Formats: sequence, C-alpha cells, structure tokens
Amino acid sequence: MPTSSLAFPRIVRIGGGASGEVPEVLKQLGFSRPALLTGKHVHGSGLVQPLLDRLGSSGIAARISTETVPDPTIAAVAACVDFLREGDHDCLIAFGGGSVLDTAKIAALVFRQGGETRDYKAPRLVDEPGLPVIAIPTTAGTGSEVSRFATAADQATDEKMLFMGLGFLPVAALVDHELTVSKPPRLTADTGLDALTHAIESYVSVRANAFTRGQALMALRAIGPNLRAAYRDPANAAAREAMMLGATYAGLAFSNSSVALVHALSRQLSALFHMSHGLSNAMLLPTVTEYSAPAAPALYADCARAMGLAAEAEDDAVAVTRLLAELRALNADLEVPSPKAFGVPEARFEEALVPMAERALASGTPGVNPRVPNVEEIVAIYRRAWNA
Amino acid sequence: MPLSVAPASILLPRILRIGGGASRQLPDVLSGLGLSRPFLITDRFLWEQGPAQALVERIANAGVATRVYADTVPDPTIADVENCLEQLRRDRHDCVIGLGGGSPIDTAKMVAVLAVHGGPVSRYKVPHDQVQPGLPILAIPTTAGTGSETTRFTIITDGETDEKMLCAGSAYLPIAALVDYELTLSKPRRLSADTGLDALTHAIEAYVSRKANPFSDGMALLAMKAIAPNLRIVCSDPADRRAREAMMLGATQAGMAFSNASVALVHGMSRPIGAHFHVPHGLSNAMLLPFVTAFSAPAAPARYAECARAMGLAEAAERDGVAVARLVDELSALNADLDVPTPRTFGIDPSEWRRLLPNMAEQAIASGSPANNPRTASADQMQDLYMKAWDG
Repeated sequence: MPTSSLAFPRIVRIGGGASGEVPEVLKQLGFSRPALLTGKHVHGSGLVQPLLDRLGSSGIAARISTETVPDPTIAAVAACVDFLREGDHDCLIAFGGGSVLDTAKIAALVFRQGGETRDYKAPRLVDEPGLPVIAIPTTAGTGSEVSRFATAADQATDEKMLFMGLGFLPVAALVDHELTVSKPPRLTADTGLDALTHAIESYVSVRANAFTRGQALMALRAIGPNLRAAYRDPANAAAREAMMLGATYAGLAFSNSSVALVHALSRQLSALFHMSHGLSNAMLLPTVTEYSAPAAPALYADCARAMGLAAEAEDDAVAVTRLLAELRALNADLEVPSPKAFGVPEARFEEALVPMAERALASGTPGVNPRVPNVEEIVAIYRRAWNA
Repeated sequence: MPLSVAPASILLPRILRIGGGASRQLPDVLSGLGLSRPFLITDRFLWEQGPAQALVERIANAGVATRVYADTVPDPTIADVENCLEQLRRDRHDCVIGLGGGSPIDTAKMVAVLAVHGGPVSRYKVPHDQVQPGLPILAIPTTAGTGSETTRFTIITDGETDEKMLCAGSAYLPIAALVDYELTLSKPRRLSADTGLDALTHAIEAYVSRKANPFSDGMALLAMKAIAPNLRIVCSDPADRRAREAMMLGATQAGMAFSNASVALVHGMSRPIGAHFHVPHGLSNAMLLPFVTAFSAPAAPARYAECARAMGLAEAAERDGVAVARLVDELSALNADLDVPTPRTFGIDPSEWRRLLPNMAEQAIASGSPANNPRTASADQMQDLYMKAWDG
C-alpha cells in the first residue's frame, strides 16, 4: 500500500454535553475572541443561548451571525466573510448542520487568505490555513466537523463547487448528540442516510486505506443498528449517540479517503432539483450499490457484516444480497421518495440525464468507484432510480 | 455500545502519513506545516546504521538544514533529556523530530516542552497536565509498538530514584506522525516481539480501562484485529511485509486508543520493573499481561471477552466465560512462543526482587494507571501478582 495522507482535527470532544465544553476548548487552543456562525432555525431552537451563556460565564463574548442558508451558496459565504471582517476575531465557532459548517469553513479560509470564494474551488488543493474553525454539529450526518471538504453552490449557475484541503479542516470538533434530540424525523433520516453513504463509499473507494477502512467499519457498526431507532423514536438517547458517533467516524473515513459514485451522481441531482444532499444520496444508494457491488463483492460484504446483516462465516454473495435488500428496506422505512415521488417532472429529468451524467464524470469522483461507469451506464442508473 | 457518562476528550495528531515510504514525505510535511528549522532526535544505531542520515539528506535536498542529536538512550533519564535540551539550545529551532523507538520519541516530546517552558523535568510528572504547547513535535516511529507517535504521553526516568515518571498533556501529542512500516523490516526478533506485545497490551488496557469511551473502544478493537493474527508472523518471518504493515497500523491504532482512554494495571506495575531492573518496556508488560488479565477479568468479563473475539479467539456466539479463558490462555501461549522470559529467567536477583516489591507496588499506585483498571488492586494484591509473574 502506498502512503496515505490523513488529517484530523486536533481536538475532538465526544458525548452528551460536549458542546458545553466550548470555553475549555477555546482556552486549550489559546483563543478568546470568537465569532459564531449559526442558522436561523438553530438559533430559533434555543440551542444557541446556552452556548452563549457558557461563553459569557467564562468572560467570552461572541459576535453572532445567523446569515446562512440551507445548501450553502457563495453569497452566504460572502456574507459570512463580511461579518468576520467587521469584527476582530481569532477563531470562528460553527454551530449547526452541514450547511452552517460548510459555510463557516469556506468563509474562514477566504477571510484569512483573501480573494474570491471561487478561486479556491477544486481541483485546487487548499492546504493554507484559514481562520481556525471550531465545529459543533447539530445533525448526525455530514461529518463536516472532521472533514477537509466543503461544498457551496453558485446560486446564479446552480454549479455545485467542491472545496478541499487542510484549509477546510476544523481545528476542533465538539460532537454532542444531545443537540440532535430535537431533529425532526425527515432530517434524521436524510442526514443519517448521508452518514451511511459516507461510510459505505469510503470503504469501497479505491482511495481507501487500512486506517480509513477501520474508521468506516466503526461508522457502519454504529449506524447500522441505530438509524431506524433514531428515526422512529427521536428521544432514544442511545440511538442518537450512536448515530452521532457514526456520522463523525464516517466523516473521518471519507475525509481521509474519498466518497464515490453515489456522491458524484447525487450532487447533480440535488443541485438541479433542489433536494437535500442526504436525500439525493439515499435515492441513489441502493441502485448505485447494485451497479458497483459485482466489481468488489468482498468489500460490500464487509459493509454488510459490519451493519450486522450477515455473520462472519456467511458467503460474500449472501452478504451483498442482504446489503442491497437492507438499503431498499431502509429507504422504504425512512420514507425516502424516488425522484418521481419527490415531484421531479419526468420531462425535465429525461432531458437532464445526459448533462448530469457528463458533469458527474467530469467531477472525477466516479473514477474512485470500484466499478467505473460511462455516460450511458450513468444514465441507466439514474433511470433505474427514477421510480425505485 | 455503552452510553458514555461524560464527554470524551479525544486528541489526534493533525497529520498522519501512513504506509510504505511515509517517512520519505518528511520534507513535504515540514513545508506543509511551515516549519523550516528542525532539530532531529534519534539514537546512535539509527544514525549510523538506520534511516536517520538518509532522511536528513532528503530534508537537506529540500533546502532545510537539520541539526541532529543522536545520543538518546533506552529509558531516557532526566539527565539525558537535559543533555539533549542543551544541544537544542545551541541554535534556533522551530520544531523537534523524534525518530526511533519509544525512547527517542519520548525524549523529543519532553525536550519540545522544556525548550519553551523550561525545567525542572520533575514538575511535569502527573497529575500535572501540560496543555500549553511546546515546540511542534513530529514523530517517525521505527518500531511497531509504543504508539508514542499518536499519544499525549511521555515517560522519563528519574535517575536518582529509578522512578519512571509519566508525563501527560496535549503538549506531548505530535502535530504530525509519519508511520512507515518499511522502517521496521530490519527489527530483530526480540524487538519485534517486545514492541508488538507492548502494542497488544495498549489495545487491551485501553479497551478495559475505566476511561474507555466509544472512540477509544473502536480504535482498540481495530488494533487487536490488526495485531493478533500478525504478531507471531513478524517474529518468525521478519520480511513479511503484509504482517509488518498490519503490526505498524495496529500499534498506531492502539496508541490512538490508549492516548484517548488510558492504560491500566499492567502498565502501572510494569514501569517499576523497567525502572529498577532495566527490563525493556514491552517485555516487562508482557511478563505481567497474562497474570494481570486473569486477575482483572472477573470484574469485566464482557469487555475481556470482546478482546478475545477481536483477536479471533472466540466466535460472537460463544459465551463470555469461554472467550475470557481463551484470552488468558492465548496471552500465556504468546509469551511462550515469543520466548518472553520471566523476571527470574531474565536474570533479576531474587532477593532484590523481593526487597523492592513494596516499593514497586507503591510506585505503581502513585502513577495513577492502576486506578483505571476494571478491578482495583491493593498494594498486597500487586505484590502477589508480581510474585506470580516471577516464575511465569
């Protein structure tokens, strides 16, 4: 195996109440003048005030901005950069779901390095430091709190831009499942399926290494038995904790390997038809897995075993069959719509198929999938998912 | 998965390069971190016959001049560390590179803190928690064992009292670890065995520790899965690259596990053996591991059974009692197969051993590690365990 290059936030606090330790973490890092970025919804949920109180009682006053949008845009990033420029800050606390975290990570980099947001998009590898980010996720999903990736869309062109490099890796992540207890079931399902997708894709990716495979298996063991429980019983603390851990492990795994074909296809779908990232992943996951598994049955079988779907001694083929069945059953149980049921007009879907396939291939991500498709195969996958 | 009671504080190196040839990426890692004046700490053997000179040349070719200290010794003492510090202070440096087994890396860690915060070394002993960073530390292990490259600990011996002082805090955690199994291919059999058993001990103790958390549990189980099937192989076939790679990965994962949980009774009792009788750390751990495991398992049979399952000794469906019995048997068998001596066959003087037992038990307790054990051991029980281990 050639050398793998991994990177982690130096500090990760995990567990119920971890978000309350933000003053200690700031102190540990030597920071005292934080800005805080959150979303209006999170702010309205009453989760932010306790955090501000904790900071206040440690003599730290944070300036706060709620100017974020779901599925971050470069306009939202620019607004955050302006907000940072108006203050005098030595760090940025990002408190929210993946959109808030991604907005903060990109803005912190642009604020410190200057220029336009667009200058930093992939394939550029941005290892220069941004303003240090302390990430506090309020969903168990994106893994953005421990990843060196972020995405933002150009709202004018619907182009979804990927940002990557150490410059987008938070210095600290406070992973507190108590913040997720009030998540509505739809959000629990979409973010949980997103985390599951991260874990599976990073495990089967040709960029996976022995270390990230271990992290991915930890994620699958945590997520597999707990996703339905968190969806059906939002107050189930054990399930919430396992999902939160699983999402963070999955983030560590894919940040240090890659995602694969599901994400490549999903980005196009979500950008064009404005559906949430986790949902568009989930719509595609069973179909893409069915397409990819014949190229790497042993790897998909490991995923099935880690999810508790097959015993160690059972055949790979049996395990893969169970995995496919489980992914379909999960989508049914978690009420994931097909693109058709979501309300995508069939004519627009049909005319978008080839452009979506071409853009997916151009992103390079399909190249790390265990089975690499051409345009026709991608179109066929989209069509199979249409009414799945 | 147990519900954790309080948030776990996980510390990770920012950069981890892992795989064959990872150490050759040192220039790239230094420049990525904006570091340009390294002080490299290693030992005489690695300098004269190992990879140290080639690495220094590689950095020099990238335009970075390195000063080298190649006089670290096994089980570094306060005097050794101060000597190294004096060399570092003869010029300006922006980071410290530890290259070697646990001793050079542990020396580097302490020197990095002393360079910024000054001595005496004794004030850094636990329960002191060194949060304020020293110089950035880069670690390049040449053994698959200590896991020191990813831990927040260092061990320095007080030469006056023969006490192995545990020093802890985020300041000791390397900013970057370059984990290159190719550096371990030439390890002699004894070193492969001792360091491998050390890594196995880290994984087991982290998993059963009272400070275990879901993250450290996951890392510990991965470590055991990597180590258990490969430890005998690297001892019988040193050139087996796949086994070497797995051992190296397992040792690093075990380091991440115990650094974020703790070690426990084995380590607490092992350090005094090493300090008084100059037994290599991995070896003194191994001498104790079967006995301490048999003593501790009744207090946490489910946890030890999971270790057995991760090590491939029992099926998921088999009962905890069966799994634990297999674990204890396997730990004894490993010691036999890898020719781990007992304290007696190692050549320790029996009367000295008996004379120092009360002192060793006291030092073990004072280190704090035994308090993390699933079963609490009194000083008397520790002396019993030492006597059990005496003759194996």
